[in-house]
Amino acid sequence: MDDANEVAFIVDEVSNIIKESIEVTIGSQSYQQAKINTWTSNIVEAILNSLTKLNKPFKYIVSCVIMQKNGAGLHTASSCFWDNSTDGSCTVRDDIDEIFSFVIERQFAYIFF
Amino acid sequence: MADDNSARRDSSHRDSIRRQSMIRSRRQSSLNSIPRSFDRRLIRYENTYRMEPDQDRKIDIGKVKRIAQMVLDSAVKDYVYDAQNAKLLVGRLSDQIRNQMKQLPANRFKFITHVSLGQKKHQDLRVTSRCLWDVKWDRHITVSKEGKDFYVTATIFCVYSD
Repeated sequence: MDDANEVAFIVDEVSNIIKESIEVTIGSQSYQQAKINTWTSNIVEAILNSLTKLNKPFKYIVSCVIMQKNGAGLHTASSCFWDNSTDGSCTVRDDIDEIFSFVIERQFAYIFF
Repeated sequence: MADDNSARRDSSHRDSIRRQSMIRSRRQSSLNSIPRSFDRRLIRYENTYRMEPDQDRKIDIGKVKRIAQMVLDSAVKDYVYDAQNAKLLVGRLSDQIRNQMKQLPANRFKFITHVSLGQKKHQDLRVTSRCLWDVKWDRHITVSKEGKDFYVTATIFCVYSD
């Protein structure tokens, strides 16, 4: 039994990865409808790649919402049925000039000794 | 007469405040006396070696979609977007969908429900998700509904765990 195996969910590490990936992809650009598809895919794939490099025994789900700032309201809720001691989630909200984006990342333990 | 009454009221008020603060301080001190290790013990279960779900415990994705669509339709029937109760509606919706998922026969699955509700104001919106999981058993489904001035999207992820 490998008790030294770190299977805890570290929020800071993950939120840094997410913030960095949003900054790299969107930076401070304004909203461009043609690029929005590429942006969302790039953000999510970059995050997933960085998470895989951490080499932790986890399954990941990364979800990204990008919305043009128009004065419209947006409400999001998430409900999870999992094991609280091993699984966790991290949400990062980013408010750029014309774009409002937030990324939710969830992690499930998949411990296999 | 009035002065007596007010004086009595003041003293009883002061007494009750003092009593409350005493109770609070007593409660705090009793919490500190519980040893930290006692309530933070992580329970590790035995390995089950079940890499796959049983035949009758799989996720029927069609059924999940039907249930989710039903919950969504009934919740936002005749709904007009209102900023105040949209927050509550969205929370309630995701809880309802999750509770329905819990009643499925798939007992080794973990569920994530993600619901987005927004106002339609000619803006652009994109919801994306990518997952790193076991392609054989893990599934996801998205259902959405549009009204005159709102839209709602629900994504359900079902992840197998041994």
